[in-house]
Amino acid sequence: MSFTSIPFIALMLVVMAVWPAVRAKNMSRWVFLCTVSFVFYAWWDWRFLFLLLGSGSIDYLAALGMAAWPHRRRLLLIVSLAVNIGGLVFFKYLSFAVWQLRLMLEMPESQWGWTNSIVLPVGISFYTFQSMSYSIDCYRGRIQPTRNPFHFMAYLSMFPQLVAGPIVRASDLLPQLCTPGHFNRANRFAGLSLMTRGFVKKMVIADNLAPAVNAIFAQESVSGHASLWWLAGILFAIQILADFSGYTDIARGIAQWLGYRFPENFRYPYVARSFKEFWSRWHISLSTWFRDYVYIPLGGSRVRASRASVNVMFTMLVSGLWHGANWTFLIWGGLHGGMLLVERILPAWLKPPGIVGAIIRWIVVMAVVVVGWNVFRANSAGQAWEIVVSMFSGNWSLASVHGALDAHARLALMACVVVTIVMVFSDRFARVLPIWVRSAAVVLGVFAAVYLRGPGDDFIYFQF
Amino acid sequence: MYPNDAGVDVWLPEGPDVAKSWDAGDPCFWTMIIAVLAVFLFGALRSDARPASAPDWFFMQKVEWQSEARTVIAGDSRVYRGFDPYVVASSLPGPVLNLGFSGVKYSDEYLAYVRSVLDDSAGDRFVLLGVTPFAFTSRSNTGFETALEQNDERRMPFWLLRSLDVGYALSPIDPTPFVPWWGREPDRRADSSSYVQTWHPNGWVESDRVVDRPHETWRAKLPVSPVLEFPTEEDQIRALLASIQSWSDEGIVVAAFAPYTPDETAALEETLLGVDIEAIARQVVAHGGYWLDVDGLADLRLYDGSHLDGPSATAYSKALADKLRELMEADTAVQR
Repeated sequence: MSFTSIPFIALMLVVMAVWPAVRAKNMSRWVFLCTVSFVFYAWWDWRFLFLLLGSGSIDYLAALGMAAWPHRRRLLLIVSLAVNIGGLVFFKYLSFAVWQLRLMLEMPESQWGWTNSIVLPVGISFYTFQSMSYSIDCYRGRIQPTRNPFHFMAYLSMFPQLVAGPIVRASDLLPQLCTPGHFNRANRFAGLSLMTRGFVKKMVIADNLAPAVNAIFAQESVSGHASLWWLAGILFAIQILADFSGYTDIARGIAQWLGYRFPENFRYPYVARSFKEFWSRWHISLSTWFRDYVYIPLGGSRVRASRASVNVMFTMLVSGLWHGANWTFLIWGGLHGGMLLVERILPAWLKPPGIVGAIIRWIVVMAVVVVGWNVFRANSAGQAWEIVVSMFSGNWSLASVHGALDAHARLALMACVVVTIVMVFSDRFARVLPIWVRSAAVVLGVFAAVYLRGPGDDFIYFQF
Repeated sequence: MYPNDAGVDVWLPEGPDVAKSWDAGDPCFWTMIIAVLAVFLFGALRSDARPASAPDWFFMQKVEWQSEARTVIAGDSRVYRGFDPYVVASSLPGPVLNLGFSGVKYSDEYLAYVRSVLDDSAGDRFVLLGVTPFAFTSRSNTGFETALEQNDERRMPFWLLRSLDVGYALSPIDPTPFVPWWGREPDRRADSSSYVQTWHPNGWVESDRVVDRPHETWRAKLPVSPVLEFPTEEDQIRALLASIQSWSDEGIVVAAFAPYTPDETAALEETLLGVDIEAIARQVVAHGGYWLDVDGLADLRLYDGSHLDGPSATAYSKALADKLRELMEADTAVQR
């Protein structure tokens, strides 16, 4: 079920009512979290619950096997990774691969036609990566496998982060779940504040921007106006940040309400002045996952410069492909990988110091980020190419910008400014604000989420 | 350099862990209570509140109604966008439900569904049928069939979904979103597919959209419309007439009408699709139904040359319902 649905609010009320009674004992806590998480996930499609249970069980058993038979550790890790990556390939990439083969070999539509009906289980990329990190960490001896299947399943399926992250490491969450959590007024209010912030970001900003962005990208032929496509990129940049960080805030808020901590996933990514900085601020749980489980095992930067460059590019391409089976994601990953490499080899004189230099660097980074978002959002690689060509066509028209900004989009942009100011202000001055001011902010946030909500749909990252 | 958003919890003392979710001194508890009260109070007091339903399962619920209405309205998108059950309920017995679907045709399956929604335990029952030339082509029954397929894929029981739907659970204080004051006039580009629309749980989609020269645009589209590739099926006309006869025999008041279209456009549609609406009108009456012709509504606006906007839909629906009342009263007088 989606966070922005009535069934979810009903589920949260049950969680809030029952949690104090079950949190004290390990077994009751884990069983309760498993039950709630399974209901949460099965609400989309109960059949995929078996996929979650199946792949999770294999990782659970593989980790136990590693502890029992250390000499078979490598084999068990290979089995675990094969099952996880195999599931991901089957559900996420097979139909795309077959489609590409059809185009290349001019195969008939009926051949391997069953692959067209493969449905992507919601959140598979997130829980698969979380499960793989458990197996790999057990293999590396960084954590001890848990013997209790409910403990493991409570970690793997914990409902706030199950379908769109943040990707929480086993070394972080498993020990927390061995405790009843810090269930106190401070954490509950902080959790409520975070949840409200997330709902406002998603429902008021992202959902109000969605129709305008969808309408622009739904054009049959790409218009030649550079201004329209720069606007589209900026709107989508705001939409995807509000959508995804909104989800993260809600997930972290729920965890904090329960007394646990999830890691940060976003840290003001659009203030970044370099691509390295951008990736230390954007989808942090995924970028650190790729750093620890792909980039560093490949040798990281402790190898020859040419090999390190290959490592960077490979990691970014895989990161792009993680988002979905489409050339646009691969190109997007390649673009960011390329920019990271350019940053590495750029001579110092091309990195101007001081405030002016910082502003120039910020403008360049954000311009490339916006181009990247247009590629990411495009419906096909062909459309992405046409959009990029349009962006640099020099054909500027304010009329096309005015036409694209409907009432919902303008509301979203105003809300974006207000939310950003409130976030920065409240984070910096939280200590001096009286309780009633913080409460009023939450009440206003709830009110805005209900009455200023936009017509958008599901969270964007559900599809990944 | 940049604040960590986890900092929001440092301003309250940590305090001891507690055994209850809520206690009287808990700011979290009071904040939530005030927030919920504020939302409900405002929803109850605002003058423009009207129950609305989430679009994602709007059509799914439309194929699940069972024996619960005294008046139903059937037809294609000109009906589900152009017929407002709220105002009909002031002239005809309620509950009134709009059963319109995109591209619907009067198949046996659809007619059976229309009949099944009527509450047989009620007294007077009414069926209103929107008749367009498109309803008798051999194309697939798009909207109705898609909704049925989606329901097959859905795993949750309908009654549970419905009971959780805000449109039902919280009516009449449903928190319908605002249209910002600067957005009262929709300003989307003419080539955009986006509508401004409200999804009402009684089946009506209150719609608007900006299209340059809507009538010319629609008429220009007609000769190249894919619908025209499908031949007209006489069997469907006969099936509709048979249902009208059968329902009339059961004591159900059946009325048909051609959803509002400018004369010139209507003539073009009839010619292109080979359907004579006037002949169908005579047949409807011959099979025990009423044919509703509404004149004198000068200000109706078809935003895309084919569909009525919200205020026009309301005015047109009221006029149709009143016309039916008028015809029935005239009939009663003749019988006396």
